[in-house]
Amino acid sequence: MENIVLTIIFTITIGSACVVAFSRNLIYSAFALFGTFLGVAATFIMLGAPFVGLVQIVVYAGGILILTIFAVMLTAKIKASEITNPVLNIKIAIPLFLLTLFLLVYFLVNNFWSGSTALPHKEGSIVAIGNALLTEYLLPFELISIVLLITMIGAAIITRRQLK
Amino acid sequence: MTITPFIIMAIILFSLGIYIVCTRSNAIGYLMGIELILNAASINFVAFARFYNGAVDGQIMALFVIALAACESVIALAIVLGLYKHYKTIDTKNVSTLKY
Repeated sequence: MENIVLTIIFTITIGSACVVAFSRNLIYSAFALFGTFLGVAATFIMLGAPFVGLVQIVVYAGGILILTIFAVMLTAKIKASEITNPVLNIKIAIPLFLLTLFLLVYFLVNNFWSGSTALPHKEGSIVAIGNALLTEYLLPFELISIVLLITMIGAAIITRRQLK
Repeated sequence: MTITPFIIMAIILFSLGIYIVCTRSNAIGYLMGIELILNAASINFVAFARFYNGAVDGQIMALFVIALAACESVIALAIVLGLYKHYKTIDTKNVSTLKY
């Protein structure tokens, strides 16, 4: 049962990631990104990290993706037949892509991680995350909030209208 | 359930992200590739935390990755909109300066 669910999630994620990579139209890529983000969120939930999965849905699918689609629609002319996302440097990209894939698969099959089985699943990981965020990771947590504030101000300054 | 399928998934996502970053000339296209790469990294963090550590450190790293990806995306899209306002294109072949 677990394997079937995992296969479905795997197919959705990789399939829509392939659409993102190989689609010639930017808006199709943007919408296919939705499937990738949902698939990754489902993977997190399968891995026993429901909080990270929910944050993934809220932030990525609800925030970043909407922003991306807005940016696409504000900058590109959307026509189904038009190539808005041309492919270039293909002679460099294919070898680099294959090299990355080969190296990572090489490390994978070299038995660094084989024979691992899942540790006993701990319930209540959200409580543990909350505790760790407010004790051990307090400084990075606060720094992230400052970074978010600076981001908000920076985005407003970059896109503001020039006052004459 | 072993860790291998998750690692394979992260590998494929990462490689597709590399491919996108290499081939796209559209600035928003780049961003999508970067999002894929960051997602692959988060999957690795969570998977290794689940299978080797059992603690929540990996999940917290994934949360930080998500927060920083949101910041990066917001700033990059703001720059893209600024570029479009000035140059009327977001093709990176035609845009070689940020100053005007």
